Amino acid sequence: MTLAHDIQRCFDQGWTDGLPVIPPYVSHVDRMLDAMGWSSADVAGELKALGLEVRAEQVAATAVMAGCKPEYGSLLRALAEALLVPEFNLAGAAVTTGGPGILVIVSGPVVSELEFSHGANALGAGVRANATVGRFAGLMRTFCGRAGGVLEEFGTLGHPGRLGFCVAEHPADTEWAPFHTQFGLAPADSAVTIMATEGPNSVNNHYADSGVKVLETIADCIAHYGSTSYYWRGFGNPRRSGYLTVLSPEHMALVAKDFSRDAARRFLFEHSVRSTDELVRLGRLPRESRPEFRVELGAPRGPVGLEEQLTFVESGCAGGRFSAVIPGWVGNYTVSRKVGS
Amino acid sequence: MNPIAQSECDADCEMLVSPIPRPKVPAFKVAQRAARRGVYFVDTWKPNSLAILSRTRSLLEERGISTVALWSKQDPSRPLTPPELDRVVRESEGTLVLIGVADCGSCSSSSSLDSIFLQQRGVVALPVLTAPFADVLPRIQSIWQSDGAIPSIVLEHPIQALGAGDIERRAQELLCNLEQFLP
Repeated sequence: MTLAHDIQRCFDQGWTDGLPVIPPYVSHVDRMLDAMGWSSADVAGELKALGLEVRAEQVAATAVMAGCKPEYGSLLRALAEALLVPEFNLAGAAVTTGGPGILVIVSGPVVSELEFSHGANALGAGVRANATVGRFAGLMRTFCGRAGGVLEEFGTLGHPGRLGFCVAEHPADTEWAPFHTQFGLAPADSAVTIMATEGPNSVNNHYADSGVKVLETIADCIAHYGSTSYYWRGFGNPRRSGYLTVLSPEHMALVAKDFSRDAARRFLFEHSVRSTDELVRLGRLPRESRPEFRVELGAPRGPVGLEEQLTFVESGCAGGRFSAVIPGWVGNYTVSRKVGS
Repeated sequence: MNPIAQSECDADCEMLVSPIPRPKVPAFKVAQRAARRGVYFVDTWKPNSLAILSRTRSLLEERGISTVALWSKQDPSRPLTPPELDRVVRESEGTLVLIGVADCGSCSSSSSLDSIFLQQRGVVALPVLTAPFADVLPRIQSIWQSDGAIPSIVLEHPIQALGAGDIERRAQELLCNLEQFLP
Protein backbone atom coordinates (compact mmCIF):
# COMPACT_ATOMS: atom_id res chain seq x y z
CA MET A 1 0.00 0.00 0.00
CA THR A 2 1.33 3.44 -0.85
CA LEU A 3 0.58 6.99 0.10
CA ALA A 4 -0.75 7.57 -3.41
CA HIS A 5 -3.10 4.61 -2.95
CA ASP A 6 -4.41 6.04 0.32
CA ILE A 7 -4.95 9.44 -1.25
CA GLN A 8 -7.00 7.69 -3.91
CA ARG A 9 -8.94 5.83 -1.19
CA CYS A 10 -9.88 9.18 0.28
CA PHE A 11 -11.16 10.32 -3.12
CA ASP A 12 -13.11 7.07 -3.45
CA GLN A 13 -14.76 7.56 -0.05
CA GLY A 14 -15.74 11.14 -0.85
CA TRP A 15 -13.31 12.47 1.78
CA THR A 16 -12.20 15.36 -0.35
CA ASP A 17 -12.95 18.88 -1.53
CA GLY A 18 -11.79 17.92 -5.00
CA LEU A 19 -8.11 18.25 -4.18
CA PRO A 20 -5.91 15.46 -2.82
CA VAL A 21 -5.94 15.28 0.97
CA ILE A 22 -3.37 14.10 3.47
CA PRO A 23 -4.70 10.62 4.40
CA PRO A 24 -5.94 10.77 8.00
CA TYR A 25 -3.72 8.05 9.44
CA VAL A 26 -4.58 7.30 13.02
CA SER A 27 -1.13 8.27 14.33
CA HIS A 28 -1.42 11.68 12.72
CA VAL A 29 -4.96 12.11 13.95
CA ASP A 30 -3.85 11.25 17.48
CA ARG A 31 -1.12 13.88 17.34
CA MET A 32 -3.66 16.43 16.13
CA LEU A 33 -6.07 15.45 18.90
CA ASP A 34 -3.34 16.04 21.48
CA ALA A 35 -2.58 19.41 19.94
CA MET A 36 -6.24 20.35 20.12
CA GLY A 37 -6.48 19.28 23.76
CA TRP A 38 -8.99 16.54 23.05
CA SER A 39 -9.06 12.78 23.39
CA SER A 40 -10.50 10.50 20.76
CA ALA A 41 -13.66 9.86 22.78
CA ASP A 42 -14.47 13.54 23.21
CA VAL A 43 -17.39 15.16 21.46
CA ALA A 44 -16.44 18.38 19.70
CA GLY A 45 -19.99 19.56 19.25
CA GLU A 46 -23.51 18.69 18.23
CA LEU A 47 -25.69 19.79 15.38
CA LYS A 48 -28.93 18.56 16.87
CA ALA A 49 -31.07 19.74 14.00
CA LEU A 50 -29.18 17.30 11.77
CA GLY A 51 -29.02 14.49 14.32
CA LEU A 52 -25.24 14.84 14.30
CA GLU A 53 -22.77 14.37 17.09
CA VAL A 54 -19.35 15.44 15.84
CA ARG A 55 -16.54 13.60 17.56
CA ALA A 56 -13.21 15.27 18.25
CA GLU A 57 -11.51 12.50 16.31
CA GLN A 58 -13.46 13.47 13.18
CA VAL A 59 -12.45 17.10 13.59
CA ALA A 60 -8.81 16.13 14.04
CA ALA A 61 -8.97 13.89 10.98
CA THR A 62 -10.33 16.82 8.99
CA ALA A 63 -7.45 19.02 10.17
CA VAL A 64 -4.90 16.42 9.12
CA MET A 65 -6.57 16.04 5.74
CA ALA A 66 -6.47 19.81 5.17
CA GLY A 67 -2.71 19.75 5.74
CA CYS A 68 -2.76 21.67 9.03
CA LYS A 69 0.19 21.48 11.39
CA PRO A 70 -0.44 20.27 14.94
CA GLU A 71 0.97 23.63 16.04
CA TYR A 72 -2.33 25.12 14.88
CA GLY A 73 -4.20 22.93 17.40
CA SER A 74 -5.58 25.54 19.78
CA LEU A 75 -6.66 27.77 16.90
CA LEU A 76 -8.28 24.83 15.12
CA ARG A 77 -10.16 23.86 18.26
CA ALA A 78 -11.59 27.36 18.62
CA LEU A 79 -12.44 27.34 14.93
CA ALA A 80 -14.13 23.93 15.09
CA GLU A 81 -16.17 24.97 18.11
CA ALA A 82 -17.25 28.11 16.27
CA LEU A 83 -18.26 26.12 13.18
CA LEU A 84 -20.40 23.84 15.34
CA VAL A 85 -22.29 26.66 17.06
CA PRO A 86 -25.87 26.00 15.85
CA GLU A 87 -26.50 29.69 15.10
CA PHE A 88 -23.66 29.64 12.58
CA ASN A 89 -25.84 27.39 10.40
CA LEU A 90 -23.13 25.23 8.86
CA ALA A 91 -25.70 23.11 7.02
CA GLY A 92 -27.39 26.11 5.50
CA ALA A 93 -24.04 27.40 4.28
CA ALA A 94 -23.31 24.02 2.72
CA VAL A 95 -26.50 23.69 0.73
CA THR A 96 -27.84 27.16 -0.04
CA THR A 97 -28.17 28.35 -3.61
CA GLY A 98 -26.06 31.34 -2.53
CA GLY A 99 -23.01 29.07 -2.53
CA PRO A 100 -20.98 30.81 0.21
CA GLY A 101 -17.56 29.81 1.42
CA ILE A 102 -16.56 29.84 5.08
CA LEU A 103 -14.41 32.92 5.59
CA VAL A 104 -11.99 32.54 8.50
CA ILE A 105 -10.62 35.80 9.93
CA VAL A 106 -7.59 35.40 12.20
CA SER A 107 -6.55 38.30 14.40
CA GLY A 108 -4.26 39.09 17.32
CA PRO A 109 -0.84 37.73 18.32
CA VAL A 110 -1.63 34.27 16.91
CA VAL A 111 -1.19 35.74 13.42
CA SER A 112 2.55 36.10 14.01
CA GLU A 113 2.90 33.05 16.23
CA LEU A 114 1.56 30.70 13.55
CA GLU A 115 3.05 32.63 10.63
CA PHE A 116 -0.16 33.62 8.87
CA SER A 117 0.41 35.90 5.93
CA HIS A 118 -1.23 39.30 6.30
CA GLY A 119 0.69 41.08 3.58
CA ALA A 120 0.86 40.37 -0.13
CA ASN A 121 -2.21 38.66 -1.57
CA ALA A 122 -3.79 38.58 1.88
CA LEU A 123 -7.06 37.13 0.58
CA GLY A 124 -5.36 34.31 -1.28
CA ALA A 125 -2.02 33.88 0.38
CA GLY A 126 0.11 30.94 -0.74
CA VAL A 127 1.15 30.32 2.83
CA ARG A 128 0.51 27.11 4.71
CA ALA A 129 -1.30 28.60 7.71
CA ASN A 130 -3.75 30.62 5.61
CA ALA A 131 -4.29 27.91 3.02
CA THR A 132 -4.77 24.95 5.33
CA VAL A 133 -6.81 26.66 8.04
CA GLY A 134 -9.15 28.03 5.40
CA ARG A 135 -9.33 24.60 3.81
CA PHE A 136 -10.09 22.99 7.16
CA ALA A 137 -13.17 25.19 7.53
CA GLY A 138 -14.28 24.31 4.01
CA LEU A 139 -13.84 20.59 4.64
CA MET A 140 -15.79 20.85 7.91
CA ARG A 141 -18.62 22.43 5.93
CA THR A 142 -18.52 19.54 3.47
CA PHE A 143 -18.20 16.73 6.02
CA CYS A 144 -20.46 18.03 8.80
CA GLY A 145 -22.66 20.63 7.12
CA ARG A 146 -23.99 18.09 4.66
CA ALA A 147 -25.03 15.93 7.59
CA GLY A 148 -22.96 12.92 6.70
CA GLY A 149 -23.53 13.36 2.98
CA VAL A 150 -27.31 13.31 2.95
CA LEU A 151 -27.84 16.97 2.14
CA GLU A 152 -27.24 18.03 -1.43
CA GLU A 153 -25.32 21.18 -2.32
CA PHE A 154 -27.32 23.64 -4.42
CA GLY A 155 -24.94 26.59 -4.76
CA THR A 156 -25.91 28.14 -8.07
CA LEU A 157 -22.33 29.22 -8.82
CA GLY A 158 -20.39 29.09 -5.56
CA HIS A 159 -16.94 30.70 -5.66
CA PRO A 160 -13.28 29.65 -5.37
CA GLY A 161 -13.25 30.49 -1.66
CA ARG A 162 -15.33 27.40 -0.96
CA LEU A 163 -12.04 25.51 -1.15
CA GLY A 164 -10.52 27.71 1.51
CA PHE A 165 -10.93 31.35 2.45
CA CYS A 166 -8.81 32.81 5.22
CA VAL A 167 -7.62 36.33 5.92
CA ALA A 168 -5.31 37.40 8.74
CA GLU A 169 -5.28 40.90 10.15
CA HIS A 170 -2.04 42.76 10.72
CA PRO A 171 -1.03 41.68 14.24
CA ALA A 172 0.46 45.07 15.07
CA ASP A 173 0.33 48.68 13.95
CA THR A 174 -3.29 48.66 12.90
CA GLU A 175 -4.93 52.06 12.75
CA TRP A 176 -8.00 50.88 14.66
CA ALA A 177 -8.40 48.35 17.47
CA PRO A 178 -8.00 44.69 16.45
CA PHE A 179 -10.74 43.13 14.35
CA HIS A 180 -12.09 40.90 17.11
CA THR A 181 -12.87 43.85 19.37
CA GLN A 182 -15.89 44.36 17.10
CA PHE A 183 -17.22 41.16 18.65
CA GLY A 184 -16.58 41.94 22.30
CA LEU A 185 -13.16 40.33 22.72
CA ALA A 186 -10.26 42.13 24.38
CA PRO A 187 -7.63 43.88 22.24
CA ALA A 188 -4.83 41.62 23.52
CA ASP A 189 -6.69 38.42 22.65
CA SER A 190 -6.03 36.16 19.72
CA ALA A 191 -9.21 35.24 17.92
CA VAL A 192 -10.75 33.33 15.08
CA THR A 193 -13.96 34.62 13.52
CA ILE A 194 -16.12 32.98 10.89
CA MET A 195 -18.69 34.19 8.40
CA ALA A 196 -20.33 32.41 5.48
CA THR A 197 -19.59 34.72 2.58
CA GLU A 198 -19.55 35.34 -1.10
CA GLY A 199 -16.21 35.99 -2.77
CA PRO A 200 -14.38 39.30 -2.39
CA ASN A 201 -15.30 42.31 -4.54
CA SER A 202 -12.23 44.39 -5.30
CA VAL A 203 -12.48 48.14 -4.67
CA ASN A 204 -9.90 50.03 -6.71
CA ASN A 205 -9.24 53.69 -5.93
CA HIS A 206 -5.75 54.99 -6.64
CA TYR A 207 -6.46 58.70 -6.97
CA ALA A 208 -8.56 59.51 -3.91
CA ASP A 209 -6.97 62.07 -1.64
CA SER A 210 -9.27 61.59 1.34
CA GLY A 211 -10.85 58.90 3.43
CA VAL A 212 -14.28 60.15 2.44
CA LYS A 213 -13.60 59.36 -1.21
CA VAL A 214 -12.29 55.92 -0.35
CA LEU A 215 -15.35 55.14 1.74
CA GLU A 216 -17.69 56.51 -0.93
CA THR A 217 -16.12 54.06 -3.36
CA ILE A 218 -16.53 51.20 -0.89
CA ALA A 219 -20.13 52.21 -0.22
CA ASP A 220 -20.83 52.08 -3.95
CA CYS A 221 -19.45 48.54 -4.06
CA ILE A 222 -21.54 47.40 -1.08
CA ALA A 223 -24.66 48.89 -2.62
CA HIS A 224 -24.36 47.77 -6.25
CA TYR A 225 -27.64 46.52 -7.67
CA GLY A 226 -26.57 42.90 -7.53
CA SER A 227 -25.58 43.14 -3.87
CA THR A 228 -26.86 40.09 -2.12
CA SER A 229 -28.99 41.18 0.81
CA TYR A 230 -31.34 43.89 -0.37
CA TYR A 231 -34.48 42.00 0.53
CA TRP A 232 -33.65 40.14 3.74
CA ARG A 233 -31.18 42.70 5.15
CA GLY A 234 -30.15 40.36 7.94
CA PHE A 235 -33.64 40.19 9.44
CA GLY A 236 -32.71 43.23 11.54
CA ASN A 237 -30.46 41.05 13.69
CA PRO A 238 -27.02 42.54 14.46
CA ARG A 239 -25.45 39.08 14.73
CA ARG A 240 -26.38 38.14 11.18
CA SER A 241 -23.45 38.31 8.79
CA GLY A 242 -23.42 41.55 6.86
CA TYR A 243 -20.54 42.98 4.85
CA LEU A 244 -16.86 42.80 5.78
CA THR A 245 -14.60 45.51 4.36
CA VAL A 246 -10.93 44.58 4.03
CA LEU A 247 -8.95 47.82 4.16
CA SER A 248 -5.47 47.77 2.66
CA PRO A 249 -2.73 49.91 4.27
CA GLU A 250 -2.80 52.83 1.85
CA HIS A 251 -6.58 53.12 1.90
CA MET A 252 -6.51 52.67 5.66
CA ALA A 253 -4.07 55.54 6.09
CA LEU A 254 -6.48 57.86 4.28
CA VAL A 255 -9.58 56.59 6.04
CA ALA A 256 -8.01 56.74 9.51
CA LYS A 257 -7.17 60.43 9.03
CA ASP A 258 -10.87 61.23 8.68
CA PHE A 259 -12.72 58.53 10.59
CA SER A 260 -12.84 56.46 13.74
CA ARG A 261 -14.06 52.91 13.11
CA ASP A 262 -17.53 53.74 14.42
CA ALA A 263 -17.69 56.84 12.27
CA ALA A 264 -16.60 54.90 9.19
CA ARG A 265 -19.26 52.28 9.89
CA ARG A 266 -21.91 54.98 10.19
CA PHE A 267 -20.71 56.60 6.95
CA LEU A 268 -20.90 53.33 5.03
CA PHE A 269 -24.31 52.53 6.49
CA GLU A 270 -25.66 55.88 5.37
CA HIS A 271 -24.03 55.89 1.93
CA SER A 272 -24.47 52.25 0.87
CA VAL A 273 -27.91 52.80 -0.62
CA ARG A 274 -29.82 52.77 -3.88
CA SER A 275 -33.26 53.93 -4.93
CA THR A 276 -35.92 51.51 -3.70
CA ASP A 277 -37.96 52.22 -6.82
CA GLU A 278 -35.05 51.19 -9.01
CA LEU A 279 -34.47 48.05 -6.93
CA VAL A 280 -38.12 47.11 -7.50
CA ARG A 281 -37.95 47.97 -11.21
CA LEU A 282 -34.89 45.79 -11.67
CA GLY A 283 -36.41 42.87 -9.80
CA ARG A 284 -34.09 43.07 -6.80
CA LEU A 285 -37.11 43.44 -4.57
CA PRO A 286 -40.42 41.66 -5.05
CA ARG A 287 -43.28 43.72 -6.44
CA GLU A 288 -45.37 42.56 -3.51
CA SER A 289 -43.17 42.70 -0.42
CA ARG A 290 -44.10 41.49 3.01
CA PRO A 291 -44.51 44.30 5.54
CA GLU A 292 -41.73 42.91 7.75
CA PHE A 293 -39.21 43.90 5.09
CA ARG A 294 -40.24 47.56 5.16
CA VAL A 295 -39.89 48.25 1.46
CA GLU A 296 -40.67 51.96 1.12
CA LEU A 297 -41.03 53.31 -2.40
CA GLY A 298 -39.49 56.75 -2.77
CA ALA A 299 -36.92 56.10 -0.04
CA PRO A 300 -33.31 54.96 -0.33
CA ARG A 301 -32.53 51.39 0.72
CA GLY A 302 -29.30 49.67 1.70
CA PRO A 303 -28.45 45.97 1.76
CA VAL A 304 -27.95 45.87 5.53
CA GLY A 305 -30.59 46.66 8.10
CA LEU A 306 -28.26 47.62 10.94
CA GLU A 307 -24.89 49.33 10.92
CA GLU A 308 -23.51 46.67 13.31
CA GLN A 309 -23.58 44.32 10.32
CA LEU A 310 -20.71 46.29 8.77
CA THR A 311 -17.25 45.31 9.99
CA PHE A 312 -13.65 46.11 9.06
CA VAL A 313 -10.40 44.18 8.95
CA GLU A 314 -6.97 45.67 8.16
CA SER A 315 -4.84 43.49 5.91
CA GLY A 316 -2.80 43.43 2.73
CA CYS A 317 0.43 45.09 1.67
CA ALA A 318 1.48 48.56 0.65
CA GLY A 319 2.12 49.54 -2.94
CA GLY A 320 -1.39 49.41 -4.34
CA ARG A 321 -4.69 50.98 -3.44
CA PHE A 322 -7.11 48.10 -3.50
CA SER A 323 -9.53 47.22 -0.74
CA ALA A 324 -12.27 44.60 -0.82
CA VAL A 325 -15.87 44.11 0.19
CA ILE A 326 -16.91 40.61 1.23
CA PRO A 327 -20.69 40.11 1.40
CA GLY A 328 -22.00 37.72 4.03
CA TRP A 329 -24.72 35.14 3.51
CA VAL A 330 -27.92 36.24 5.20
CA GLY A 331 -28.77 32.84 6.68
CA ASN A 332 -25.71 32.92 8.86
CA TYR A 333 -24.49 34.48 12.12
CA THR A 334 -20.92 35.71 12.49
CA VAL A 335 -19.20 33.78 15.30
CA SER A 336 -15.99 34.91 16.99
CA ARG A 337 -13.95 32.82 19.44
CA LYS A 338 -10.90 33.55 21.51
CA VAL A 339 -7.96 31.28 20.70
CA GLY A 340 -6.64 29.52 23.81
CA SER A 341 -8.33 29.58 27.16
CA MET B 1 4.94 17.31 14.17
CA ASN B 2 4.15 17.88 10.53
CA PRO B 3 1.63 15.18 9.45
CA ILE B 4 2.84 14.93 5.89
CA ALA B 5 6.45 14.47 7.00
CA GLN B 6 5.46 11.37 8.96
CA SER B 7 3.46 9.70 6.24
CA GLU B 8 6.38 7.97 4.54
CA CYS B 9 7.21 5.81 7.53
CA ASP B 10 3.81 4.71 8.76
CA ALA B 11 1.64 4.48 5.66
CA ASP B 12 2.01 0.72 5.30
CA CYS B 13 -0.36 -0.47 7.96
CA GLU B 14 -2.20 2.46 9.36
CA MET B 15 -5.94 2.77 9.61
CA LEU B 16 -7.56 5.85 8.16
CA VAL B 17 -9.91 7.77 10.47
CA SER B 18 -13.19 8.79 8.87
CA PRO B 19 -13.82 12.52 9.13
CA ILE B 20 -17.54 12.25 8.44
CA PRO B 21 -20.13 12.09 11.24
CA ARG B 22 -23.30 10.19 10.41
CA PRO B 23 -26.73 11.13 11.73
CA LYS B 24 -27.88 9.12 14.75
CA VAL B 25 -31.61 9.22 14.69
CA PRO B 26 -34.24 6.76 15.88
CA ALA B 27 -36.27 4.91 13.30
CA PHE B 28 -39.77 6.27 12.93
CA LYS B 29 -43.09 5.53 11.28
CA VAL B 30 -44.40 7.60 8.43
CA ALA B 31 -48.05 8.58 8.13
CA GLN B 32 -49.16 9.68 4.69
CA ARG B 33 -52.79 10.55 5.30
CA ALA B 34 -54.20 13.01 7.79
CA ALA B 35 -56.74 11.85 10.38
CA ARG B 36 -58.78 15.05 9.99
CA ARG B 37 -59.86 16.84 6.85
CA GLY B 38 -58.01 20.05 7.47
CA VAL B 39 -54.71 21.68 6.60
CA TYR B 40 -52.07 23.41 8.75
CA PHE B 41 -49.63 25.61 6.83
CA VAL B 42 -46.12 26.64 7.86
CA ASP B 43 -44.70 29.25 5.50
CA THR B 44 -40.98 29.44 4.67
CA TRP B 45 -40.81 33.23 4.20
CA LYS B 46 -39.56 32.87 0.67
CA PRO B 47 -41.01 35.55 -1.62
CA ASN B 48 -44.48 34.50 -2.85
CA SER B 49 -44.59 31.46 -0.58
CA LEU B 50 -47.10 33.15 1.68
CA ALA B 51 -49.10 34.38 -1.31
CA ILE B 52 -49.35 30.84 -2.72
CA LEU B 53 -50.30 29.33 0.63
CA SER B 54 -52.82 32.09 1.34
CA ARG B 55 -54.49 31.54 -2.01
CA THR B 56 -54.50 27.78 -1.44
CA ARG B 57 -56.16 28.37 1.90
CA SER B 58 -58.91 30.38 0.20
CA LEU B 59 -59.43 27.65 -2.36
CA LEU B 60 -59.63 25.04 0.39
CA GLU B 61 -62.17 27.05 2.32
CA GLU B 62 -64.29 27.45 -0.81
CA ARG B 63 -64.44 23.66 -0.80
CA GLY B 64 -65.34 23.44 2.87
CA ILE B 65 -61.90 22.27 4.01
CA SER B 66 -60.73 24.12 7.08
CA THR B 67 -57.31 25.67 7.57
CA VAL B 68 -56.15 25.35 11.14
CA ALA B 69 -53.30 27.85 10.90
CA LEU B 70 -50.96 29.67 8.57
CA TRP B 71 -47.84 31.19 10.03
CA SER B 72 -44.23 31.82 9.03
CA LYS B 73 -41.21 30.00 10.49
CA GLN B 74 -38.50 32.17 12.02
CA ASP B 75 -35.86 31.49 9.41
CA PRO B 76 -36.22 29.83 5.99
CA SER B 77 -32.63 28.57 5.98
CA ARG B 78 -32.91 26.55 9.20
CA PRO B 79 -35.17 23.80 10.50
CA LEU B 80 -38.03 24.75 12.81
CA THR B 81 -36.91 25.56 16.35
CA PRO B 82 -38.04 23.24 19.19
CA PRO B 83 -40.72 25.74 20.30
CA GLU B 84 -41.98 25.96 16.72
CA LEU B 85 -42.11 22.17 16.46
CA ASP B 86 -43.99 22.02 19.77
CA ARG B 87 -46.45 24.56 18.44
CA VAL B 88 -47.22 22.49 15.35
CA VAL B 89 -47.60 19.31 17.40
CA ARG B 90 -49.91 21.09 19.84
CA GLU B 91 -52.08 22.86 17.29
CA SER B 92 -52.28 20.65 14.21
CA GLU B 93 -54.66 18.09 15.78
CA GLY B 94 -54.56 15.39 13.15
CA THR B 95 -54.72 17.69 10.13
CA LEU B 96 -52.30 17.66 7.22
CA VAL B 97 -49.25 19.86 7.91
CA LEU B 98 -47.59 21.43 4.87
CA ILE B 99 -44.22 23.19 5.16
CA GLY B 100 -43.33 25.36 2.19
CA VAL B 101 -43.12 26.66 -0.35
CA ALA B 102 -39.40 25.90 -0.42
CA ASP B 103 -37.65 27.05 -3.56
CA CYS B 104 -33.96 27.14 -2.63
CA GLY B 105 -31.26 24.84 -1.30
CA SER B 106 -31.30 25.68 2.38
CA CYS B 107 -35.06 26.15 2.70
CA SER B 108 -35.77 22.88 0.86
CA SER B 109 -33.37 20.99 3.10
CA SER B 110 -34.87 22.64 6.18
CA SER B 111 -38.46 22.03 5.16
CA SER B 112 -37.65 18.38 4.43
CA LEU B 113 -36.01 17.98 7.85
CA ASP B 114 -39.02 19.71 9.42
CA SER B 115 -41.32 17.11 7.89
CA ILE B 116 -39.16 14.32 9.34
CA PHE B 117 -39.07 15.86 12.82
CA LEU B 118 -42.84 16.26 12.79
CA GLN B 119 -43.44 12.75 11.45
CA GLN B 120 -41.26 11.47 14.30
CA ARG B 121 -43.71 13.18 16.63
CA GLY B 122 -46.71 11.59 14.95
CA VAL B 123 -47.72 14.54 12.79
CA VAL B 124 -48.63 13.99 9.13
CA ALA B 125 -46.24 16.60 7.74
CA LEU B 126 -45.02 17.01 4.17
CA PRO B 127 -42.73 19.57 2.55
CA VAL B 128 -43.85 21.62 -0.43
CA LEU B 129 -40.84 21.89 -2.74
CA THR B 130 -40.16 22.97 -6.30
CA ALA B 131 -38.85 20.82 -9.12
CA PRO B 132 -35.07 21.49 -8.85
CA PHE B 133 -35.17 20.49 -5.18
CA ALA B 134 -37.45 17.48 -5.44
CA ASP B 135 -34.71 14.97 -4.56
CA VAL B 136 -33.80 16.56 -1.24
CA LEU B 137 -36.19 14.55 0.90
CA PRO B 138 -35.44 11.09 -0.60
CA ARG B 139 -31.72 11.71 -0.08
CA ILE B 140 -32.22 12.56 3.58
CA GLN B 141 -34.48 9.57 4.03
CA SER B 142 -31.81 7.25 2.68
CA ILE B 143 -30.14 7.57 6.09
CA TRP B 144 -33.00 8.60 8.39
CA GLN B 145 -34.69 5.25 8.67
CA SER B 146 -38.44 4.93 8.56
CA ASP B 147 -41.02 2.35 7.55
CA GLY B 148 -41.88 4.27 4.39
CA ALA B 149 -41.15 7.34 2.37
CA ILE B 150 -42.49 10.73 3.35
CA PRO B 151 -44.16 12.13 0.27
CA SER B 152 -43.55 15.68 -0.85
CA ILE B 153 -45.59 18.01 -3.00
CA VAL B 154 -43.54 19.41 -5.86
CA LEU B 155 -44.56 22.62 -7.62
CA GLU B 156 -43.19 24.29 -10.70
CA HIS B 157 -40.05 26.41 -10.21
CA PRO B 158 -39.56 29.35 -9.68
CA ILE B 159 -41.90 31.03 -7.24
CA GLN B 160 -40.04 34.26 -6.59
CA ALA B 161 -40.93 36.31 -9.66
CA LEU B 162 -44.57 35.51 -10.31
CA GLY B 163 -47.54 37.58 -11.33
CA ALA B 164 -51.05 37.01 -10.01
CA GLY B 165 -51.86 34.45 -12.70
CA ASP B 166 -48.83 32.31 -11.89
CA ILE B 167 -49.54 32.46 -8.17
CA GLU B 168 -53.07 31.27 -8.90
CA ARG B 169 -51.67 28.43 -11.00
CA ARG B 170 -49.24 27.33 -8.25
CA ALA B 171 -52.05 27.47 -5.68
CA GLN B 172 -54.27 25.31 -7.90
CA GLU B 173 -51.37 22.91 -8.41
CA LEU B 174 -50.89 22.65 -4.65
CA LEU B 175 -54.58 22.16 -4.08
CA CYS B 176 -54.75 19.30 -6.60
CA ASN B 177 -51.76 17.58 -5.05
CA LEU B 178 -52.73 17.80 -1.40
CA GLU B 179 -56.17 16.24 -1.78
CA GLN B 180 -54.69 12.71 -1.85
CA PHE B 181 -53.32 13.18 1.68
CA LEU B 182 -56.66 14.11 3.22
CA PRO B 183 -59.22 11.57 4.52
